[in-house]
Amino acid sequence: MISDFFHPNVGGVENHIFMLSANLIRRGHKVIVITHSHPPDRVGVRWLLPGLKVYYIPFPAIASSATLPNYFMFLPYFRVIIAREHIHLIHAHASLSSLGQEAILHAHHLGVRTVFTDHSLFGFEDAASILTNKLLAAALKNVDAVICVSHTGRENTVLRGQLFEMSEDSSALVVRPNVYVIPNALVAEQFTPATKPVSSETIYIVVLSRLAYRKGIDLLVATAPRICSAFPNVNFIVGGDGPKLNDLLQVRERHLLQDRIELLGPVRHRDVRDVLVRGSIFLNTSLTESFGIAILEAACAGLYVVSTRVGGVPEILPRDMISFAKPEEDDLIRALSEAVAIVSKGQHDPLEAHQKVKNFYNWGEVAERTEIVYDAVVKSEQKDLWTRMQRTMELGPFAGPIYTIILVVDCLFFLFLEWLMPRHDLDFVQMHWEHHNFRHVVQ
Amino acid sequence: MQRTRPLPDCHPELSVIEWPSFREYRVENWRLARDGSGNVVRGATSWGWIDLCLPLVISFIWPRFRDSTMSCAFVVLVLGFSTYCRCTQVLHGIFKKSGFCAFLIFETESVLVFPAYGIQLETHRGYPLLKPLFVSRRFIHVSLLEDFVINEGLRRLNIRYYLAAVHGSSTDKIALDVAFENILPYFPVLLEVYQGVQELMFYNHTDNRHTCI
Repeated sequence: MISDFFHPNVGGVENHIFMLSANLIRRGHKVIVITHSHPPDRVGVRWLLPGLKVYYIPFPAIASSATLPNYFMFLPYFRVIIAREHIHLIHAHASLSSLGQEAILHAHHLGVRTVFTDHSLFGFEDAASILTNKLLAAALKNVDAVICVSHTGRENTVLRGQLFEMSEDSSALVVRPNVYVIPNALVAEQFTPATKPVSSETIYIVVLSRLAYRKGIDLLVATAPRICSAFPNVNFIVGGDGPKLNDLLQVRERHLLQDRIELLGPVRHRDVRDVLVRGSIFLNTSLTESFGIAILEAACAGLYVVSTRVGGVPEILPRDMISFAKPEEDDLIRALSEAVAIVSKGQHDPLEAHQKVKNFYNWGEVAERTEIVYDAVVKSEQKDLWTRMQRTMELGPFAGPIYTIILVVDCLFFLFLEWLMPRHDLDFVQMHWEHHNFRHVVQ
Repeated sequence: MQRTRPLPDCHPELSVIEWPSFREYRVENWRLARDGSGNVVRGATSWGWIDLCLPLVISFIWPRFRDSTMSCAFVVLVLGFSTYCRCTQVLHGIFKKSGFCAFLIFETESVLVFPAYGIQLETHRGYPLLKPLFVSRRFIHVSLLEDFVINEGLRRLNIRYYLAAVHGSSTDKIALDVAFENILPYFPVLLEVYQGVQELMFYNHTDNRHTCI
């Protein structure tokens, strides 16, 4: 697994990589993770339970844990790690992770197959999106399989990364057959509903997210006072931190809602369940969301969900557990009123909801489906260098030659490294953590 | 005193010497080339007489031949050739399994294991075929020694295994001391030393110290 986003940072992608790796180890595979280092001293080789080796490579991160594209300086480390660990396949995560995209570029030198997972949705119009989409298209030109977390995510990735080709009879563009959809999952045992029911006099609406523009905090700021005045028995609990915290504080002051809106600040992942079970409704106002794992966690904890109808959100839960709204103030108020009515009448049963969601998603199934993708990739044919160069040239009149030159210089640098640090001089890994030891220790 | 080589085929640089009250694991500063050719590769930290003499010779002949282009070219060629030799440092010879060839050994590192007292990490440096001129020793008492492990770490652009003695210090902090710090032998050598040290130092005290392999 290669990504910029891994523990000790906490987030959706990090959790996904860890849980997927743990389940693949349980199925008998050997998994290692390569990521960048964290100051002051998280550099080198570390081990995580249950037998997951993590390589922290000393590259500095520039913005929220993403590193600059280091096309050539990553190759020595990548070559040494993949060769010594006897790796057959690499799995890169997150489109903003330059380590992952470089790994896809370097993998063919060592005969290693590649899989890429995209976790988020991105736009097409602004300057940053245009640049990152071009980088993504270049990286995905020669990848062996792409996995997306929802059908909406798949459409988005296909369009951004230009994952389509001319069909056999040159009549129309056809999406590549190796783009798959495998959803995220959650550990249902960590999100059990409250054992005794919450009081029905006051209804608590829980909001737990990063307080950023993408998460639609402006919508929350606009609707919260109107809801509080329309329903005297409704209170808000808001957890999380971010740049929009000030806006929330200001709206609280302006409308004198200090006792109606409770601000919890940053909430640790292990405390999320305790915050969720205090409420009966979960509100998600994101402007873009590819999967919405927070919504799933809230539904698993027995809350009724109100969300904006964006991205992959409509795909994850059945209609009777969620109310949708357009990302506009009036529609959101309509949806919230509907939710308050449903909860006041007692039509939503938390325990029944938990039982249903428990069976929808689990990590073992995700690992099994990912294994099927790996199997298909390993059995397919590797592209040779000339095909790769031709495909890279198709990127466009400017990007094509640039990326082909990068590819060729990469090959030359690889040859240089083979001379400088010969393969037989590497310190090969002869012993790895055996999974049955873990089971033996745990029992 | 009895000296054996536990890995004679691939890693003859490791020798185990049984002294009356302790055991020494000695690694010499050379190894067999790992491409199977049987060539001997000298350790990269060693310096030779030529590294002292070459600048001296150049400083003598330079004023005399500065103007002639042929001589300058010759000097540059000689410098280039000596740099190339310094970088590769292969002594062409086939190692005899039975005999003990006298190589130019500049550095030897050892781990001495005193079963009830502790372990000692030593580095011997010197000139070829003489007794060692400089010796640096580091002793770790058994009460301070927490564990003796094989770790992996990043070294320049490479990832290497290294043996580390985990020990507490007087200031209550845990520190790591790397054994064979300059030579950095490969994993089979480290495994041999690791198993020997674990057996001597930790096996008598508690069985729980055995880590899973």
